[in-house]
Formats: sequence, C-alpha cells, structure tokens
Amino acid sequence: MQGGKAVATKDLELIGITRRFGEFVALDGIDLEVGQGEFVAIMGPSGCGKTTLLRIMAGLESTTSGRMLVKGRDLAAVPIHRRPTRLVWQDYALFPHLNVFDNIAFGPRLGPHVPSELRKKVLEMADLVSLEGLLDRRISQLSGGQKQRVALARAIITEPEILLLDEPLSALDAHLRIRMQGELRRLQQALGISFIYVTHNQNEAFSMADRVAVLNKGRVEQVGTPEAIYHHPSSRFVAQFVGMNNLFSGKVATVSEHYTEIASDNGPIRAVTGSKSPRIGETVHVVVQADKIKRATAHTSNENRINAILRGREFAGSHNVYLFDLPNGNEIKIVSEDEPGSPPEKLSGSPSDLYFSVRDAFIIGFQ
Amino acid sequence: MENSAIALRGAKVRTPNQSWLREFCLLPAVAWYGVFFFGPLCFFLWFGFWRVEDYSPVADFSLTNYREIFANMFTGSNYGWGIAQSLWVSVPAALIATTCTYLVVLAIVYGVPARRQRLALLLTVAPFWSSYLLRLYAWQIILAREGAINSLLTAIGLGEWRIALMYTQIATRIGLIHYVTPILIIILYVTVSNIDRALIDVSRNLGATRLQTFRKVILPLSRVGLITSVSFATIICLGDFLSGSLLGGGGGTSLIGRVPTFPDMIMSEYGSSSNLPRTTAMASILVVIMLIVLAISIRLMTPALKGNRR
Repeated sequence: MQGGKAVATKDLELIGITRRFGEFVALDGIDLEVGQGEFVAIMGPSGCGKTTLLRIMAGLESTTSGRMLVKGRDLAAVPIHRRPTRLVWQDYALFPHLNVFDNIAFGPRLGPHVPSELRKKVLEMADLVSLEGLLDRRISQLSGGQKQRVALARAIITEPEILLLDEPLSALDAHLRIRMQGELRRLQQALGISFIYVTHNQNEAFSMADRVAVLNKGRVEQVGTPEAIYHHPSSRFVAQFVGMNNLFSGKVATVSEHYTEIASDNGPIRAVTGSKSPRIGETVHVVVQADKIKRATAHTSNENRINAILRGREFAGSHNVYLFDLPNGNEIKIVSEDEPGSPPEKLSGSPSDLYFSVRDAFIIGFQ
Repeated sequence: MENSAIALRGAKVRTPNQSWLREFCLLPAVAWYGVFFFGPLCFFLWFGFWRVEDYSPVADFSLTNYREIFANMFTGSNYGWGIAQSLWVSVPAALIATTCTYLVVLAIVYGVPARRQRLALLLTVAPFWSSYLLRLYAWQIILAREGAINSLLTAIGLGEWRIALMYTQIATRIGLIHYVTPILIIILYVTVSNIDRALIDVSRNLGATRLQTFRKVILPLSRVGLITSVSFATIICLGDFLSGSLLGGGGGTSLIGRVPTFPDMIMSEYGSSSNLPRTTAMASILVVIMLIVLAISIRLMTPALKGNRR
C-alpha cells in the first residue's frame, strides 16, 4: 500500500492507523480506503475506537503511528485548522453565544470574505438544509432536528473534501431519525463529497452507506457493501454484531461438493460449501440468520434439524422474536412474521423441533 | 388556552418545587438577611437624614447633611475629589485584577491536567486564608523605601532603579488586587471551566487558529464571568479603606493628586467629627455609587443578541 503516489482516485486512505493511550490500544492498524464521493459508515459497539478514529480523521486526536491521505495528500504535517475534513458532532456542539446565521457563518468569517457574498452563501446553505426563516433564532430556541441541520450547514459551508459525522442522529427521535437519514443521503449526493458516518446503529449504516466498515477492539473486522456484511459476515464478531444471526460452532467432519458437515454440540449441521473450503478437523462457525430458522413440521426432511426449548417471545411490532435454549446451553433467536394461536406463556418451556436449510447456513472463521 | 386552564385546575399536582418545604427552608435565610442586613441597611439610610443637637443625633428627616456634603464636593473637604480618587483607584485595580486572574484561570483550565486542577485552584486561593491586614503589612515591607525590593535593587547595583511606590495610590491598588484575586479566581474558574471543550474543537475544526478560537469562542463565552468579576472587584475596592491608609498612606499620590479615597474620608470623619448622621450620609452616597456600578454591570450582562449582527 503505497498510496502517496496514486493520485486522486481515493478521497481518503488510512494506512495502518494506530493509537495507544498508555497500555490501552484504541486503534490497532486501521486500513481503510474511501473512494470519490463515497458514503462510508463505520460501525461498531461502544468502545471499539470508532469515535477516536473519526477524531483522528478530523485532526483533533493524534496517532501513535500510521498515515492518512486525503486525495493523495499526506495530512501528517497539516495543522488542525487547515485540514479539509469537517466533523459534525453527536450533540451538535453549536455556539450558544451566536444565533443560527452566525453559527453557519463561523467558518467563512475566519478568513477573508465579502459580507454580502457571505450572506448569500449562508442563505443558500440554509435553503439546502431547510432552515429558511430560522436564521435569527438563538440556538436555545431550536429543536433537535433543527440543531442538527445547523451543525450540518456550519460544516458544509466551509466546503470540506470529506464530511465526518459522529452518530449525528442518535439524539433524535425515531421518526425524525428516519427522515434525516433520507436527507443526509440526498445531501451527500447533491454535494458529491465523501461522508464518513460513525454509528452503532446498523439500520442507519445499512440504509445510507455505500460501504460499511465494522470495527471491533480497534481493528477493522470487515469492509463491504451493506448486503455483503449482512448476508456474508466474514468473522464471528461481525456475524454476532450485525443483523440477527445464530452461530453454531464445531469441527469439520466431511466436505463434499454441495455441503460441508460440521459436528457440533447440538448434532451434525450441514452448510453450503463455498468457493473456499475448510480442512477436515478445523474448528469453524456456522452462521444462520434468525429468519431462516423455522419450526419443523412432519414433512420437513433432509434439512438441518435441532431440538430446542422455547424460553420466551419478544413482540417487535411487525414480527416476533423467539428465544430458544439449545441442548448445549447456548441461546438462539428465530424471527417469525406471525404465530397465531398459542399464547406465549403456554409455549414457554416446551420442547420444539427446529430446522433450517443447508442453503441458509454459511461457514466462517476458517483459515 | 382555556382547555389547558381547565386541565390544570382539574389535576392539581404539587411538584417537589412547590412543596411547603421550600418556604420552610428559605425561612432562616430570609430571617437572617431581614434582621442582620435589610433592617440595619434601612436604619442606616434613614440615619443619614438625622440632625445633631448638643452633640447628639436626633431623629428627623432633614436634608441638611446631604446639603453640606454636596456643598463641599469640590471645595473645602473635597468629597468629589475623594469619590474621583476612589473610582480612579478601584476601576483600574478591578480591571487589572480581572485580567491577571483571567490569564491564570485560562492557564489552569487549559494547561493543567484535569486531576491537578483542584490543587492548582487551591494554591491560587490560598492567600485568602491569611489575614488581609497581615498581607498589607507584608506589602509594606516589600514596597517600603528601604523595603525588600529596594534593598535587593541596591544590593545588585541597580540603586538608581529604586522604586518609590509606597504611599502612592499604585501601592493602594497592589494591596487591593492581592485582596480580590482569590475571589475572582473562583468566579472566573467556574465560568471558564464550564465552557464546553467540544466548542473549542469545533472552532479549530472549522478552520480557526488558536488565537481566533480564543477571540471568537472562549472570550465571548467568558463575558458574563468577566463582567461579574470586574463589577465585584470594583465594589469591594470602592468600599475598602485599609489598603488606602496602610499602603496609600491616607492621601496617597496619583494622577488626581494627593487626595485620600472616599472611604478614607469617611473613616477620618468618623474618627474626628461628632456628626455621625453626616458621616452616615457620606457612606450612603458610597452605597449608591456601588449600586450604580452593579446596575451598569447587569446592563452589560444582558445579551446584546436581540438584533441580528450581520
């Protein structure tokens, strides 16, 4: 990876970014590339280093080692206030002593500017993020959604090459969050600049991003399109963090053209054989999405079958989530659209026969 | 509106804030201030209107005292010059004290690691625990004609640079500044440490240099604290006579001349004249001047953000 010479096809290249706080390794050799005008989401549990990574990209945090290039330019020697990356804060961090207009105009006013042109530009910005008529308001008079827009306008007006967003929607209510997701995506396409979006919320990541990077313990676990991450998690961590996946562990028993059989604590499980196949005897994990496991009926055969004991049900509006205990003590989840009839309290504790298709079982975690 | 009024009447819920405990807990404070502050203050203001007959005060409502004082503003006792001297001593002292303290506080908040800040604060406030009088005597020793500074200057051969600060109003201001800074440190520390650090990051991230960030973010957000601290210090300095008499020597020299400060005049009248009501009237004038300072500072504090500054 010698990104320094490869000109301008990438908006951002992170090469081996490492950050230590004393003994603690917050980021451990992060490599990430962001293409031109790409919307990349960085997703991970709290404490995975995603906010630290974002602050490093913004220049607010230093690195222990590693390089960062924006459009092929190394930013190591560029002071914070000259960096082309703008950050939008989780809690907006608007200037309380300035009104909406002055907040948006903060960046442009730092350098030489013509007041009349600046005014026009601020009005355009306000138009872009639907803040017309609110420019004279004080910050304390704004709602959460409006503050969010001011924060966006304040960053965008400075014409950054990359916009960094730190969980910008987490303080909004669910309804507004979904509306803002659409607006952010539209904004990103209109501006044509790269957005790097940090979140722990996979719905946000999947609905907006071109690509998603999953971070865990300061390392990139997987980078790919939302579909790839969702359907083909490449590691045990991603499989557990993303979507609602069930994991079965065991040793590979046989490998054939169509399926691989794994000997697990809960009996033999067959999974599809991918382009790469594991060695016999290797310990692997089988991933099965929660909505792919069904209750067995008399005429389901030839599939993976497991016995489990129903523990409980969570009603989630459009669907139900059922929790089962496996013979080895592990828990699995299945999602089902509807289960008319039997009330949950009667079901609880009853043994059930579950099955899933070989086609829906993927093997991960082998060399 | 009508609906909500009905709804409110229908369900009267007492929040913890409306509990009778609130009044009950306020009672000691109200009683204390009533008996020991507001009552005496009212009596004090009234006493300024008493007359003196046969060397003893007689209750009255006469303007004689005030008439005499205002007649002697710039002649005779020169009270007006005393007030001018007081303002000329106090306002610059307050401004210098606030500026120095602000720099110290900025250094503590942004330069000292968070876990050491309490200690740093404690050390800067420590002088407050020694007696004010003792501190003034210490300054006498430092500033005197043959004092610490001048002895040192002579010893290292800089005899011609000897200072002559003792018994000037500059010495008065030094004493006052030393007196008020520990209090200002607390006021300003609270202000500056409450400024959201993220705002500084935002400013830098939006392209501001360190200096621009100070000018456009930290300074405006310290405004209320700075005004409070200047007015607070001015009021304390206006009421002080110890520094003026021990370091300023009573009628210390300044640009205004060898004029004592107004509190100094009040103290000497108190000691020499038998007209206590008239001395009280002078003190009342000082109180009014302090209230004017307070009013100006409150006026400056109310945000000027009503209109749009473009």
